[in-house]
Amino acid sequence: MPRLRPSWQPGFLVPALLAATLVTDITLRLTVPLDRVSYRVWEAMRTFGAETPFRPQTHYDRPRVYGNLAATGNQRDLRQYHRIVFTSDSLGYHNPPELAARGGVAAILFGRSFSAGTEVNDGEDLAAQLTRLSGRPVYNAAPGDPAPAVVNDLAERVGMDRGVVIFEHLESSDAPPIDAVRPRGMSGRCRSLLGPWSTPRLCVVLAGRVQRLGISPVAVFATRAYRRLQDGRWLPNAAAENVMRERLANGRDMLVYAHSERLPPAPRRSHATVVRYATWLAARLALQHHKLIVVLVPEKHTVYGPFTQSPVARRAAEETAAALDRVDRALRERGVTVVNATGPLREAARRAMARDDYVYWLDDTHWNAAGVRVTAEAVAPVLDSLLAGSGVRTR
Amino acid sequence: MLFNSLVFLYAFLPVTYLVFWRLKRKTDRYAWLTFTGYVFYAFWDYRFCGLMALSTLVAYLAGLGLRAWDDPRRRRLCLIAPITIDLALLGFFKYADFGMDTANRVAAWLDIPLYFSGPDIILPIGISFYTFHTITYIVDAYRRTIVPTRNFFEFSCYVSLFSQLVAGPIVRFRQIEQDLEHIDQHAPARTWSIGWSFFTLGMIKKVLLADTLAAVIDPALAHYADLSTLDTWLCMLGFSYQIYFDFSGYSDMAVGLGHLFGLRIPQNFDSPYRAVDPSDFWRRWHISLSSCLRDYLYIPLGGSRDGAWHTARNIMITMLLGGLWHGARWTFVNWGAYHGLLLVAYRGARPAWDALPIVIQRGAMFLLVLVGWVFFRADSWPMATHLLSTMFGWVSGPVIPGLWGLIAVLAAAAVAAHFGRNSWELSHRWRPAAGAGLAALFAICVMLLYVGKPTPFLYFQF
Repeated sequence: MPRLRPSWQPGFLVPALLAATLVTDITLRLTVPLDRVSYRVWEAMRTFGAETPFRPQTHYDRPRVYGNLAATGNQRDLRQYHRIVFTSDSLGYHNPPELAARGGVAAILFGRSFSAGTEVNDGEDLAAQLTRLSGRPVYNAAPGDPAPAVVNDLAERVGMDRGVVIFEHLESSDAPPIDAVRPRGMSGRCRSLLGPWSTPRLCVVLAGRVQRLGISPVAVFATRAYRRLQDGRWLPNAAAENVMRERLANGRDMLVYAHSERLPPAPRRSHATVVRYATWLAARLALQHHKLIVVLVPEKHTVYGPFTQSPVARRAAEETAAALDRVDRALRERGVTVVNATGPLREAARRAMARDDYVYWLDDTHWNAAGVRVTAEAVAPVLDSLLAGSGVRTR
Repeated sequence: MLFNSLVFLYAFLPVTYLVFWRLKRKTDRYAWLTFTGYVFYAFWDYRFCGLMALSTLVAYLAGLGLRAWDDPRRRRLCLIAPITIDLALLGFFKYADFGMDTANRVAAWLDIPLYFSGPDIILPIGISFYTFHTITYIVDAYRRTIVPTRNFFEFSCYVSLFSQLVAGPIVRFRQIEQDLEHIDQHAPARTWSIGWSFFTLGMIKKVLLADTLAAVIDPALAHYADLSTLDTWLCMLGFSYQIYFDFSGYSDMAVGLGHLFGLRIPQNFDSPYRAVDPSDFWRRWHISLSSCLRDYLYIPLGGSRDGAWHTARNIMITMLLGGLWHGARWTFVNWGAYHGLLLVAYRGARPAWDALPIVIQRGAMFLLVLVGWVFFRADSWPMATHLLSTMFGWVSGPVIPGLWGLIAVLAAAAVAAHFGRNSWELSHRWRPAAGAGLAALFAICVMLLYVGKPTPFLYFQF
């Protein structure tokens, strides 16, 4: 046998390949911008380790983003590509850049991704639409919990005096812990760990690095390539079980999380906890001369369940809607101002379906601009009535 | 930890390797390999490291006793006591739930008001393998086939060697004794390339063939009641190749890793799907287990010395226990019984079988093995009977998702399993094009490791 070159043997090639892959992986983790490896705003802009929820003063403009359900379930054919323009202010929230500096804010909105408005454009999120409808500046502080200390701090920064705190409670989410300010992400934990040796800058930088190192562009690209093969023909779609296709009465398919129909609402979330939290929060905010509005936001399957062809989905939707009604009643009985968006959203969904239009994205868990508008129209009169006579100036 | 994981490839293996070759003294290397074996094991569940340490210590002390004493009574004590402890641990962790469940079923069937219950017992990964290692060591020492070692770290390194710790091959001390003795004299360059060659082939078998097959057939078999006859056959054909490439891939990786540390781990698979009869199959499939069952169970029972009836009895006992060793489930016992019956039947029909053309023998043997895998793969007896009735009846149904991928991988797997040379028949000296091709396939494997959680090896559960 002729003498073979060692450089072509696995003993050289394979370790070299492993070393090259490792170096490439680490380099890409540290250098590739997150919006290059993400398909929507949430992953591209979130700063899970830092003080601010989104990267401050950043403008995100992508022509083809799509929904989280289409991504989670690898349902390429149901992707609804659309353009997203998302701008964050100096505090890292989804607001016009000048709003915080201008001051004189009448209300601050807290909540989850629904309120943050990562699936709608600038000017279409709940705070922006409330601002337009009420004529008073509403500051978007989502995602975040309205712990009294946080409200105080933010009210001072954005110039809110005797204002209104709007708390979005999403049907499937837990109530925030009572009287606790959770340290924000990794940088908060870093500060408490380093104690006097920490500086805000050091912890933010460290947290950012750790966050970047946790996301591997190589893994993202490899997964994307592999998912293309998981088309049902070459390989089964392993992610398909995460989501369900629900056929609506008008024949269109809509994606929902598979678990939304598998679990009854009562064991899933303790609504008593929400009532207890909101009652406590209203009392605490009153001490600071602020008022509270709780906005009950239904999940997509609760809004669209009655309009699907599936009896299971219809029954599940009625159960979740009834649970939200119970929260609504309990809060009213305790004197907490509450807006339940389920009814308006269902009614709007029914009307829009007739013209093949929707209030939630078909491929995403979140509402679209139309859904936000419906909710804003339900909240705005309540906001107006609370602000009337409270001394807050109007534009 | 899994061989097919990034943490193993990027961190564990390089560190283990570099430190190992920096150490010069024999005992240091034994201690280092012992330590890394425990680290490797602790990645699964650190709480069970103590169990392995106990098993190791008991067998080591028994070995010292067998080394020191000639008195038959003391020697018998050194044989029986540690084996009893080992089997008690194995029995408790692996078979207690199974025993209680079986007793409860029998009691219910006989309408006896009896119900056993106990805590949910976690099966420690690899217990079947390291228990086998310690038992074969004690028996060999008792038989004076080996001289037990006085060096504790040499023995603990043998038991906890990470390359063979959790899924074998079952390496007997005598097979590795020489290499362990000369662990400080080995030149790393000598076996570096052959080690990586074995490891690469194993990784390709596991990740590209076995895992891709599993990606199609596992979801299909999860809904086995909906499968058509054709799909059921395809799934079982797929499983036949999956289990072969999964376990032989693991064995190749273990052999390759052994070479990197100067330890020659013996062959575990010899193209079993080229077997021409049941005896031949068991000479080729999981060789380390079948030879252990032969040497430590079948022959001590009497082997084939006392006529056809006793031989059949011994075969059945061996194969039933061999089946049970694979898992605490009646389907594994059925699988063992099925192969026992094949072996017994072959002994009776040997002249007629051997007269068949070799192609027919191979084809028929593969078919028989494939049918046997139904018992092995089925989670329950109803599942096994349903699969068999679907295979041998006619049921139509929708095409399973991923059919084209399954057919493509089945074709590649069939060529490799039936016609290709196995890892031990290769020279491991690759021409440039072949070397580059191998590296390219390994690169795809690494990318697949990035895609998701690495898939555990099938034999981890045994």
